[in-house]
Amino acid sequence: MKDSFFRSMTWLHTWVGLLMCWLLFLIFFAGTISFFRHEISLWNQPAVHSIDNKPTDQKALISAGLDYLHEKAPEANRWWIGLPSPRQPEVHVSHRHSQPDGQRDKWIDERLDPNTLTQVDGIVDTRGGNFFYRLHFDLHYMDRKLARWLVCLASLFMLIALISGIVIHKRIFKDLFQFRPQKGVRAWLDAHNLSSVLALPFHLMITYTGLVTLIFMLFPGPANTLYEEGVKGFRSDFYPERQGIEKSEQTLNSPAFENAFAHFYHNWPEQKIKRVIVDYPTDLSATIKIYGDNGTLIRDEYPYWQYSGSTGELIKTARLDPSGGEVLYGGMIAVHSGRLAHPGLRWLYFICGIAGCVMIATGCIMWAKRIRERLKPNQSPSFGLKLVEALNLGTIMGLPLATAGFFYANRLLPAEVTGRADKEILAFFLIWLAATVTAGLWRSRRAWQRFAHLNAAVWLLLPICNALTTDGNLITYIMDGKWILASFDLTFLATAAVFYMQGNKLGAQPNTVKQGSVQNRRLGREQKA
Amino acid sequence: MIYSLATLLCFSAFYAFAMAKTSHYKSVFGSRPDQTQTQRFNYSAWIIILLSLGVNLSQAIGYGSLMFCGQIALSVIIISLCMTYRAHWLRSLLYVLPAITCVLIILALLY
Repeated sequence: MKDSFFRSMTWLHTWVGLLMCWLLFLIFFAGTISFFRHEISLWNQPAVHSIDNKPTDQKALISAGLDYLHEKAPEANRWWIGLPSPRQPEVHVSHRHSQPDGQRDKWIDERLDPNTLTQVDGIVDTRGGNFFYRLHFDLHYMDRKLARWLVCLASLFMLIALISGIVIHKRIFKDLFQFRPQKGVRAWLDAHNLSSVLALPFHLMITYTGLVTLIFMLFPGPANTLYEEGVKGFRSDFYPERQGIEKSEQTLNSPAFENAFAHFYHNWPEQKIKRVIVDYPTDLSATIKIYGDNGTLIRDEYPYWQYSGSTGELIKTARLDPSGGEVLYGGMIAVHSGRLAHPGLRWLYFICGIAGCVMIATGCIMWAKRIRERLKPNQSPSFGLKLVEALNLGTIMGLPLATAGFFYANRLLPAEVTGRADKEILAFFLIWLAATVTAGLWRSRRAWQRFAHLNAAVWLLLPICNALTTDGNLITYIMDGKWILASFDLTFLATAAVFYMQGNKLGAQPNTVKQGSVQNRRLGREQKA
Repeated sequence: MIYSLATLLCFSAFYAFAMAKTSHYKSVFGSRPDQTQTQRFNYSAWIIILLSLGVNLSQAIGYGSLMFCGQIALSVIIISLCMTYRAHWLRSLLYVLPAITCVLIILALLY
C-alpha cells in the first residue's frame, strides 16, 4: 500500500477505474440510451408512426383487446394487453402458446390502433429499445447470472472510484466550470472533473441504486434468514403475481371479465391501468391480473389486483398500501430506471448519463496519455498501453458507430427476413467488433479523427435513411407535432455535429502520439550516439 | 411552467457562483471584481439556489429533487461551455436573466 492516505486513494482511483472502465462505459452507454427505451421501440416500428397519440378510454381499449384475443388466440395460455401511454401510442396485444416436448412457450406480439381498434399491419420483428435495456445489465450473448455478477462488480468499482475521486480531486468544487481545451493532458483532467462534478449527485445515485437493483444477488443473507426458501421465498412474497397457476384442464366457456372489471372500476374508479394479463383464459383456473399505473410516483412495482376468471371475484391484491421497506426499495429502483420521468426529466437523465460516459471515457484516455508522456525517449510502448489505447478507441468510438449500425439495420433489413430482431443485434456487435479490431491495428490520432468523421457521416445520413425508408421525415414530424420522432432526427444530427467538430479538432492539432514517439526514438538514438 | 422557472433559477444561481470567482468574472467582464461584488454574487447564488430547490420541492418532493439534480447538471454544462468558448455571451445575462425570471414568475402566477 502507498505511504499516505492521499496517495493510496489516487492509486485506488486509478486502478479501480481503469480495470473495469470499458465494461462500465458499455453499461453507462446502454443505460443512458435505454432511458429512451420505449421511444426507440416506437422509432423501430414505422408501422405505428401514423397512430395519433391522444387520450383514449381505457375501458373500451381493454374490452376491445380482450375481444380481439378471444377471437384470435383462444387456445393461448396467456393474454397480455399493454395500454397506450404518451410514450407508446398503440395497444399491445400479445399471446403466449405452449410448445410440445418441453420447449419454451412462444410469444406472438400484435398491435391495435387505439383510435380504430383494428390490427396494425406491417409490424416488423425488432427488439427496439429493449435491446439496450437488457444489454445494460445482461450484456447479451452471455450467461445471464455471470453477466449480472460482472455488472455488480463493475458498479461496485464505479462506486469506489467515485468516492476516491471526490477525495483525490480536492479542488473539483473550487475549479467548477473550468475547462481549458488548449492545455494538453490537463484539458482531459478538466473534462474528467467537469463531467464528474456537474452530475455528481446523479452519478452517486445511479451507481448506488444500480447496486440496489441486484442487491438480493449480492446480499441474500436477510432473505435467507427470514424465509425458509431463501430468496425464492422472498420473491414469492414480494411478487405474488409471478407465482405460477395450476391449470385445471376443465374448459371455461365465458370468462367473467365483466364482473371482475365492474368490481375494479367500482372500488378504484380513479386508478389508471398499465396492463392486463389473463392466464389460461379458456380454462376453469383462468386468472385476471390487473396492474395499475404509478404515474410519476417514485415507485417501481405496480399496484396489483388478481381476479378469478371463472367467477370474477377478487382473489388477492399487492402493493396497494406498501410498507416502508417496499417504498424505499421500490423508490430506489424507480429513480434508477427513470420510468417515472416526464420528457423534461427524461432529457435531464439522458444529459447526466452522457456526462457519465464522458467521465469514464476521459478517465481512460487520460491514463493512456499520461503513460505515453512518461515514456523515455528510446522506450517503446508496452503491451498494456497498446491494449488500453486500442480498447479506448474501439469502445469509445466503436459503440456509437455500432448503435448507428443497429438503427440502419432496423431500417434496411427486409421485413420478411427470419430472425430479423437477432440480425439487427448481430449488426450492432459485428460493427463494434470491426471497430475494435481496426483500433487494435491502427490507434493513432489520425485513427481517432477518421472514426470521428465516420461517426459524423453515419449519424448525419441516418435521418436521410429514415426519410427514404419510411413515410415520414423531420419536416413532416414537426408539422404533425410528432415530437418524439422529430427529436430522434434532431438528436442524430446533433450527434453528427459533435463528432464532426471532434474530428476537426483532432485534425487541427499535430499527431502528437506518432510524432512524439518518432521524436522520442530520434532523441534516444542521438543520446546513444 | 413551474419547473421552467426552477430551471431558470438554478441556472441563475450557477451563473452567480461562476461570477463570484475572480478568473471567470475577469474573462466575462474584462476586469477584476472587488470584494463586495464577489460577496454579493456569492450570497445571491446561495439564496437563488435555495429558492430553486424550494420551487422544485413545492411540486413534488421526490420528483422535484430529481429535477433539481438534473437542472444543476444542465446549468453547469451550459455555463462551462459558454465560459470556455463564448465568455462574452455571459455578459448580457447579468441583465437578461433577472428579466426572464420576472416574466416567468408573472406567467406562473397568471396560469
